[in-house]
Amino acid sequence: MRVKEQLEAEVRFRLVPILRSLDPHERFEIQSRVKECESAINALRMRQRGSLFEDDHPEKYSITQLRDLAGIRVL
Amino acid sequence: MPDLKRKQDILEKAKYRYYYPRLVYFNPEDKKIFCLQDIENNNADWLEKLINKKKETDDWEIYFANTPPSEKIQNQIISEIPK
Repeated sequence: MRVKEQLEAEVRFRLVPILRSLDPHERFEIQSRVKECESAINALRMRQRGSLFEDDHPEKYSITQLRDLAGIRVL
Repeated sequence: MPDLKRKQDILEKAKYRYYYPRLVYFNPEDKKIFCLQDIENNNADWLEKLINKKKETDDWEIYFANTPPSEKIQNQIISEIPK
């Protein structure tokens, strides 16, 4: 959750110059999400050969390897 | 994308079937298996070369593009695909 908040804060900061130049009827919205745990584990599993984890080497796997663990959408 | 189409054609022509639970393509006659990740990460020539390659034994073989997973994983894949 902290990563999500940090990402949102950074994006909002970067968009401040644009915010100042918006017309009254214009606005933008920022949406963020963190991948659900079960979904993250499944996504990590799908990246392995045979869609299998090696039980003997759990240290090889981390959901931080996923590129879409947290996402930001600017509308 | 032409490479993707070509890979699909190669697999289809060589009568490979997809086994979704393990994300592999396999041919029960040739006893060869390819993981989807390796097919996606390599070109069609790589795939075609290995499909056409003559095996030295009659055992099931899984072809990997780089470091293979453990034997335990390989055996599990082989044991699960429909024969």
